Amino acid sequence: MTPRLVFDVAAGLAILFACVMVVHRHPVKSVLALVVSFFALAVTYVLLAAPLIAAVQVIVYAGAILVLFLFVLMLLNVPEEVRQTPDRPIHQALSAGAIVAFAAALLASLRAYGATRAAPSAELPPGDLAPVARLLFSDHFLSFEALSILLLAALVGSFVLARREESP
Amino acid sequence: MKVSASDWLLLSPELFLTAAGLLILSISAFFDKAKEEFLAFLTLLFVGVAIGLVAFLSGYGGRGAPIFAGMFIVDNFAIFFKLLMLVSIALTVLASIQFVGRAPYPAGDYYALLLFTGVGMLFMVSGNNLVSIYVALELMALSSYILAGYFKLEIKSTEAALKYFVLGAFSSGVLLYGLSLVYGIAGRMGLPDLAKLFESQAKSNLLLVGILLILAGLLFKIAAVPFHVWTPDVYEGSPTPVTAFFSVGPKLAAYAILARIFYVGFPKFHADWGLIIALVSAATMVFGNVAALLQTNVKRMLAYSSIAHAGYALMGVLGFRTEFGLWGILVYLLAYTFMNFGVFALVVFLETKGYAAESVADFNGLARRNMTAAVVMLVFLLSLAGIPPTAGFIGKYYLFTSAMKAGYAWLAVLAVLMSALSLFYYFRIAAAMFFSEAEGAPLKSSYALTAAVLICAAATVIVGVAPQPFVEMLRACVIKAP
Amino acid sequence: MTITINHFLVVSFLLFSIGLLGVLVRRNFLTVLMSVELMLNAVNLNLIAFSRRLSDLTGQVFSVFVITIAAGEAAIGLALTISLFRQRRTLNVEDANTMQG
Repeated sequence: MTPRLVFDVAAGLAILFACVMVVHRHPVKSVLALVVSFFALAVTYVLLAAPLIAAVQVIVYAGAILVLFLFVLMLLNVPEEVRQTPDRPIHQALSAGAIVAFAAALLASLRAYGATRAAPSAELPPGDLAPVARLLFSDHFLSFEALSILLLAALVGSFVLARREESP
Repeated sequence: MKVSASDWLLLSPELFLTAAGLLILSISAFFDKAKEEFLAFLTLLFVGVAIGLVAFLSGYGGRGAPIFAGMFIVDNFAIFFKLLMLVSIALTVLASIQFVGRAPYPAGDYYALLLFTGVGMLFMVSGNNLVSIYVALELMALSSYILAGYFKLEIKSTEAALKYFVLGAFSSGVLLYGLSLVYGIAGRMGLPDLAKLFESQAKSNLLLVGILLILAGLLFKIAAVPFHVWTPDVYEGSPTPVTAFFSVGPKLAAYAILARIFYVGFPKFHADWGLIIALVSAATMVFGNVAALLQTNVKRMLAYSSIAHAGYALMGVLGFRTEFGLWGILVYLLAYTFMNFGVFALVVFLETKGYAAESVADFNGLARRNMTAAVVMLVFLLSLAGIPPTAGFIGKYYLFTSAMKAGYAWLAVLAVLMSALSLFYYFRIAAAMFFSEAEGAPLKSSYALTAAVLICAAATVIVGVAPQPFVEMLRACVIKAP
Repeated sequence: MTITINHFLVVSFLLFSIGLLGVLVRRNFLTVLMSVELMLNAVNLNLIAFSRRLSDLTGQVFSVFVITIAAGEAAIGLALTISLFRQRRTLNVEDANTMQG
């Protein structure tokens, strides 16, 4: 398979299943569609010579976060959403209009951005983790430590919010 | 990357506050509900020490240069914001003691999360790189979502957290997309590096879209029109001490990074973002004041009033490359912190006394039942409206002057008109307090809450009567435009 | 035809728009949460594509950070979901509207 073919299939799947996720009324199927979409994204990361991110994507996103979603869904036993008629047509029309305008502006400016450059570049040896790790733990170590506090806060917070409390 | 002992010293307030949060978290398990007040005083003590550390750093010679590989900077600007934010956290703790104490939730986690929010805010104002600023912003935001929903048996609190979460996560997604576009154009994230690079580069549309998205994401955090929709619901539903905190602390941090990102990182495009900020500022003050006028619920009225104040404050960012620079917004934020916190602290006071403090009628006859509270409330309201001799007047004076100097005379005129309009709804509360009859025994406040309110009132009056020393000090805190 | 960086940027942009649309029009809180995750993923794709094009690893490091933050956000979002569902037996955001808009 050529990289081009791999890219086309992966990108197509990612977009298709993202649409399925947004449109589907059944939450469990939505989550599963998102899993497929994220797996396909991991493939594009490999094409971009970022195997570390691809692995993290599969392990953390598809493996941990989305499983957590499924877990909560099963725990709560959420029923299928009832299809309702949109009751705020102005709101929806406005948001659709905003997105179309945003799309036009962005796609127009993307055309101007390096369309001529091909992705592969010889300077980055694909698959080499050491430079990423070096950058992560030297220049960015302060943000890395701040993130550890963030995760702790999230942990405490989700415990606080989800813990069952007796009503007073 | 070399890290010297002096760098760690400059980081000490953040390190100390993190350690304090961890300590509170771990010892809170040993305190039952009745003894939790001790945790609050411990938190207060820790915040006090952190204030001391920042004050020490303000006299420390080694500050001012970027450290930790250019990620972190402790300049006068950051020190001003850190002091003000730590004071707002201390005030929040004082206002929370009774409010959280009588609620059926563990207080230890609450204070620890408040401290973590504080760590995020301190990191934000010292951020000198888009990556570190974003990470700090998320640390602040995630902790504050939890605080909004802390009273989880009350449906309003959960709803407030839900709305805050959805719109907050959405806005940081937009901000992040903008950051990624800027990264794609520039290939670097350090603010000074960005400015240096853009100096020699032609404008590209993609870059402008990126900057616009970053601006939109930040305006969400400041609650400027048209990104304000979450504010009234979140302010109404959150536990009131948390609302008081939200109206001050996270906003201070958002103004600080807005100013830093656009002054240090994107000075070349000031004509573009300046105009957008001026328009947003005008729309925000008009909408906030008109909507506040139509409200009868006090918390919502104050929420719209703080939207209006966000509109005024944005004028202070416009003074780019004038002699004023950010001076106006610094003076204004000093005043805003105390007067706005004070107003919400008095709502906390009424709520702990069993009044919902929902409608203006809850303030009826307050003067008869607690004269001090009524007089202090009047001071805050006058200050919010911008009547001399209060801090609010001084703040607005500097803001309006800075807008005039920057060539936005029309905006200053509009702001004066809107301030006049705001008198109407502030006066409604004042009239209820002094001219309405109401039954009821005298109300007594707890010592901690009294302390918080009196600190705010004292600051509002002192800055209003003798502004000169403060204003001069703040002159040294502005970021110099390159 | 070879793959250029623009292909990745367009895919990322489409995913971002789908996420944006999901947040704006869907009323199920879990779907909204997943749409936010999709937006963050689109940003990651952007960052990694730019990182490749610029031969600069900051983009990859930043995307690791973004994934971590997304994990924290998901945890809090799900805790809120549980809290909401216990009180209202629904995940519909618009039903959660006891305050006057």
